[in-house]
Amino acid sequence: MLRALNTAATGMVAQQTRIDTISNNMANVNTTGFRRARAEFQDLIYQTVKAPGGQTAEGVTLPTGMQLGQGTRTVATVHMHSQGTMQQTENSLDLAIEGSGFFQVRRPSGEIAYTRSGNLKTDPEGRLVTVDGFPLDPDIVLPQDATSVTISADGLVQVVSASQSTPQELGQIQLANFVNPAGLQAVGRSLYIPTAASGEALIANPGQDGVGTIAQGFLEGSNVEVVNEMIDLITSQRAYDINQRVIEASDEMLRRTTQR
Amino acid sequence: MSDGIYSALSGAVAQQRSLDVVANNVANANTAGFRADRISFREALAKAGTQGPAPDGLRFVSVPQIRTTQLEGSLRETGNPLDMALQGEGWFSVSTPGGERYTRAGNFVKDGMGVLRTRDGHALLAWPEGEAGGKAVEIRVPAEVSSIRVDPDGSLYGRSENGMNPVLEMPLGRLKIVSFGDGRGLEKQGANLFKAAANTPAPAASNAQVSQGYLESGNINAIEGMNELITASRSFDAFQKVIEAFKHIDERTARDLASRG
Repeated sequence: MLRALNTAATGMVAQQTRIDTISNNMANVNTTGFRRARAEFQDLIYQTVKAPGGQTAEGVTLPTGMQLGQGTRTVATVHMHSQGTMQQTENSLDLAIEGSGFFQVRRPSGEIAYTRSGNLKTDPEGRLVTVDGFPLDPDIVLPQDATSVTISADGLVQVVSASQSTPQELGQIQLANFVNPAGLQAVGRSLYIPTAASGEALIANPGQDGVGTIAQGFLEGSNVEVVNEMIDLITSQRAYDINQRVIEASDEMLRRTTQR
Repeated sequence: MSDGIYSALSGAVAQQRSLDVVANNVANANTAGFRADRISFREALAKAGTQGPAPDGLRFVSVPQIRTTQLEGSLRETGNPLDMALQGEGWFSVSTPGGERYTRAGNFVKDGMGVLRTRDGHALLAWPEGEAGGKAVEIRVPAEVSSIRVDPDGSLYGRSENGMNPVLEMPLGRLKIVSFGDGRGLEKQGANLFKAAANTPAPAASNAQVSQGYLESGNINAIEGMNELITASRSFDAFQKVIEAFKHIDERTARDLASRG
């Protein structure tokens, strides 16, 4: 009797986790470069009361065994690294990556973090930084009197300034790619850090070695599909209800057994 | 004392088991590739005369049997190239420390070395030659591969797009998808894995089709689940009433006999 209670409780916890994940996806529907997450579940270990294929007393093989399940558990919340929608902004410092790859930014601790969100700004020294002020790695410094910036699909940064009318090359933005981007750890602020599961960062120029190209004047939106999230929300809610009904039924049985 | 009370008790216990099974099915409502269990009851005539007190016995006890249903779950599009769903009877083979195991949950990932694995880190197995048969090995995707294509027959190809070069496509093997017929030879192990039960013959290659970018949902039907739930709790009530009735009979018998003596 208590088994059904516990089993249904694992189901309710799983649905809660799923709703938590969905609500974070929905909250970030307009976050530049956001990657939606998906909660994934597994069944728990089974209690084998009778093994299938065992022998009954009469020398007959059991066609089916008896295995009682104990519920479910959340095994992972996985970030889905599919392309988000491209939004044209006409701001020359808005960059989007078409294809796989990440911008490299240097955090205050000196560690490199990776992001898909390319809404860059300049800091007082003219360095290209993220909205949080973390500089791109390697540094790209625009001259103070720059009038226009052109960033090519392969990441070359060219600038025209008041003092120099011919375009001047400042450097090349490099992108990092991972064997398993789903293994990256999200640390907030749209940043990811590598783990043993993601593998080492493979640095390449845009358009080479399988990394994507850069689109200037575009931002990559989140890859959250509101309709899909709504459907997931509805199914989670219903699944939660049914698990709750199982708890009610178990409770009712226990009550009848004890109140005699 | 009446023996019937034990029949009613076995019935009540059986309904508890039934509830346990329903609870596990609905708890796994969102487990990819989950196979629901169905409980059925067999009446067994307790062997009269061998051990029982009297050879008069029509004493039925209820013996529960649990069978895993092998209906296919619905496919859900995810757009993730490493999600794969099987259509038709077949199982993905994965290598675990305990030997080869089988799963319908196709939510695979690449690890840091490019090896395709389940969420628990068990390597997905494939035949390297591109033909069914032979020794299956893990699939290692080279670092330069930017996207993976899976054909319906399970053949894997890695595409690499390198700057000016034309798109290159290299074969990565063919998924080891095996068939267990009606699935009775499989035992649930938890964590979305099944294992071949003792005495189960080696599985044959399967004709199941692979759909890339889809996941198979569990084959749980919410209406059936609610139905079983209601049946279990109402039957449990009924058995409780029978037990109650036997209790009254025994009480009355004891009282009447006592008053005569």
